[in-house]
Amino acid sequence: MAVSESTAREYELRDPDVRLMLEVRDDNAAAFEELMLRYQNRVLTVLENLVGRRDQAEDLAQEVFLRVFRARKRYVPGSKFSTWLFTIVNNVASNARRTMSRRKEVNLDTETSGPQGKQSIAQLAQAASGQMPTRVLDKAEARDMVLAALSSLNERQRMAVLLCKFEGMSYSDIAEAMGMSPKAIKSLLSRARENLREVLEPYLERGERPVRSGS
Amino acid sequence: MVTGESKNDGDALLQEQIVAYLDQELDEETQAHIERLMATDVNVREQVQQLQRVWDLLDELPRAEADDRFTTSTVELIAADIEKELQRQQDQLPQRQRRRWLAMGAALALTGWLSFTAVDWLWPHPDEQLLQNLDVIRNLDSYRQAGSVEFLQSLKDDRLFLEPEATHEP
Repeated sequence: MAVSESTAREYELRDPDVRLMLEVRDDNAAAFEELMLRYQNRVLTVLENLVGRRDQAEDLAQEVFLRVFRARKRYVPGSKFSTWLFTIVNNVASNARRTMSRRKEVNLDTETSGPQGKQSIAQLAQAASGQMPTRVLDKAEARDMVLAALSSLNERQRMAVLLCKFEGMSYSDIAEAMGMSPKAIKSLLSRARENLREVLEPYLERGERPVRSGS
Repeated sequence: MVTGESKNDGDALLQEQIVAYLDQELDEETQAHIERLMATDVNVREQVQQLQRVWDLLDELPRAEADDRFTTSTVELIAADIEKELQRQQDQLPQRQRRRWLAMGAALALTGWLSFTAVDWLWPHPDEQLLQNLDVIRNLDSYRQAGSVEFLQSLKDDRLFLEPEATHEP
C-alpha cells in the first residue's frame, strides 16, 4: 500500500519507535538492537500464548526480527511501529501454521485446542468438583485454566484476543495487523470473549478447582 | 413478530456492543445506550460483569521474558543473514557488471539512433532534392532539345511516342 509523505511524516513525529526503525533503515545496528530489546518480550509473549510452546515461539520470534531487518530498506511508516511489527508477527504465525498443517508434523494448537479443548476442561472440572472441596482458585490453577480456555479459541480469535489484551491495541490497529476490517474484528472479539466466558465462567462462579493437565 | 433468527441477531449485536463497551471502542451515543441498559436490565449488567471478570482472568496468562541466549542467537542469526546476502551480492558481481555493460551499450545505441533521427528531421540532407529529381536530371539534355514543357505536353497528348502496347485500348 502506498503511504503518503504527510502520513509517514506524521507517524515519524508521533512514534519514537518509528524513528528508531527509520534509523535501522539507514543501517544503524544500535537502533535495531534497541528495537529488539524493546519488543522481544512482547513478541515472545504473544507468540508463546498463541502457539503454546516456548521453543517454537522463540523460533517464530527470531523469524519476525529477521523479517524486520530484511524489510528495513523498504520501510515507510504507514502506521504505528507496533502495528507494523504485529502484522509481521501475524504473517509469520499464519505461515507457520499453514506449513505445519501441510506437513502434519505438529499441531500449532495445544493438546486441548478446539472443541475437544472445551470438552476436556469441562470433564476435568467436573471430575474435580466431585472429588475435591470447593475453594478459590490459586494462581497456577487459574493460569492453567485460562491457557486451556485460550487454546479452545480458533487461531484468529486467539490472535485478536492476545493483541487486545497484551498489546492494548485498538480494533482498527488489530484489523490492520490481521488484514481484516475493524467491523470483522469487533465480531471476532465478541465471539472470542463469549467463548472464553462459556468456558471460564462456571469455574469462576463456583470456584471449582480444575485438574491441572498432566497432573 | 420477532423471529428466532432476528432475536439471535439482536443478541449478537448487543453482545458485540457490550464487548466493544468494555474495550472502550464505542461512540458516545452507543456507550450511553449500553449504560442505560446496564442500569435498567439486570441480565445486561450481569453479562457485562461476567465478561469483565473473564477478561481480567486473562491477566494470569504467562508473560514471556527473553533471556540473553535468545537475544544473542537472534543477533547471530541476523549477522549470518547479512553475511549470506553480502556473499550473494559478491557472487553476482561479474554477472551484474556484464549486465551493466550491456545496458550501457544498449543505451548508447539508442541515444545514437535518436540523435540521428532528430538531426535528419531538423536539418534535411542537401542532396535530397537532387535525388528526388534524378529522373529529370538524367534526361535534362533531351528536355532541353525539346525546347519547352508545353511542346512535350502536346506530344504526349497526341500519343505519338507511347509504347505500342499502351496504345491498344479496349
